[in-house]
Amino acid sequence: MAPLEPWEKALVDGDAFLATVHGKISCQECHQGLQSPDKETAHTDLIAYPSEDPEAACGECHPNLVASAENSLHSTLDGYYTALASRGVPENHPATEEMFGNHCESCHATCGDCHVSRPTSVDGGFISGHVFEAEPSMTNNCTACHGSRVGNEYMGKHEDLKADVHFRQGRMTCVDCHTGHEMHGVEPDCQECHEGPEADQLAPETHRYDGLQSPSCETCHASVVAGNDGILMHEQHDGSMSCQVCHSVSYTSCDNCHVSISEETGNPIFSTDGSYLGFYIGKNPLQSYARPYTYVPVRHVPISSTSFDYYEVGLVSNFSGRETWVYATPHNIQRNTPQTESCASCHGNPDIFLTADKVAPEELKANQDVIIDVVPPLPQ
Amino acid sequence: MAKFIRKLISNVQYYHLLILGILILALAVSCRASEQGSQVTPELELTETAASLEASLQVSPTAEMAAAEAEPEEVDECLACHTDKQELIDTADPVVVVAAENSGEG
Repeated sequence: MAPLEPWEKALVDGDAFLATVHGKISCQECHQGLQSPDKETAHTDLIAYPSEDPEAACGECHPNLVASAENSLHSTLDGYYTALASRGVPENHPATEEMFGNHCESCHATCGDCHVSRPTSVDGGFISGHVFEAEPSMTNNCTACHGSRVGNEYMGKHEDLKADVHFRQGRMTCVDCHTGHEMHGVEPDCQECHEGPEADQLAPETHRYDGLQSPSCETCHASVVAGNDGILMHEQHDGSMSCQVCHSVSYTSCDNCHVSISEETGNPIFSTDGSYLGFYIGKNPLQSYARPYTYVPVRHVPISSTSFDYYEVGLVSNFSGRETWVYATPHNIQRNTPQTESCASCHGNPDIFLTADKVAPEELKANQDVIIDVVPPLPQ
Repeated sequence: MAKFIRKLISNVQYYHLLILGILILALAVSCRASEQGSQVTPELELTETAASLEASLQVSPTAEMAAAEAEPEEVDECLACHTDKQELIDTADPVVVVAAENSGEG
């Protein structure tokens, strides 16, 4: 994503914008400020990003979306809280709050971050001259944040690795699978159809992999799950593994992220030990009604026991409370992969499985639920 | 003699009929011409009405200027600047180049 010039970030396409519904609303109604030809005066009390208060900026016309979006992960950042809490990082702790505010909250996405401009976490800038786009742009919005892993994998930016077939051949963008309902946190009423024990497994949703799979491969590839597509391997494995186990290729993992404040500029900064490509099959630590798989691909996340020591030593008080090799859904799906070449690609091949020897000693305990003890042998 | 008279009468009748015919034709042509002159098409009538209305509503340039002074056209200063690329370039805050302080993949 090429950076925008300062003027590009703020240039309104008068003709296009004024022809839209939002163009009928005066600038000051959302942005406040004053009417003046002088920039400083005009920007007095300016609200540059009105949708940081979605209720005030968008709620009048889009009350339902605003109400549901408050529950979306883009808004709540619950994914962070879930991961931090499970590793013993105390909630409502001054050091945690300071760290979270400096490093994690920038990932919060407002309505405008998806529909008007590039996300503020990448310094903003209008996408279509302030025209409100109902459908976010894949490169300007989605992968502006989800770029280093998802974006690079999906668009084939790693050397010798092809782009995801859905992009390469289907020309599909993120929103073709990740619908507005999902993005806006519109929760499906699972219990309407699923009763009894199933219903218990579908709620509550505190993890992005809780609940029904949405999106799911089966939505479009229903015949694969039904086992009537004529492909022997689909019948043989019979839901014992996620689709990505066979149809993903190498993806990115990262190690050792540490956050701090720059002494030079006072800006929040991070450092990681770099990223590397790999492909490992692990045990599914999140087995549920909707994800019954025994095997899933696992990706290393860059947490370490000292990641937040800048703010307070020992903030990660229960490092082993959650795996560091996590259930992954790589976005680089291919019909043919090294795994699909033959049975021996996986069966009896320890290189492709996350065995204990591939896990750092200090992380063994955390990863007990995903480490493969016995590599599945070749069928007789 | 009788033969001569009959012929004369017969000639006079033809002559009269001819004159009468010419008169009727002339009258008809003249009536038609006058009718065409007085007839106005609805379109023409409308155009004329609009033109006359416009003329009656026309304000002198001085009056127009006075009205403009009384109610100046509102200029949206926000849009005036933010739709003007050069203005944005001229008034942009200087870009401070900050060396990337993060290391590794984010």
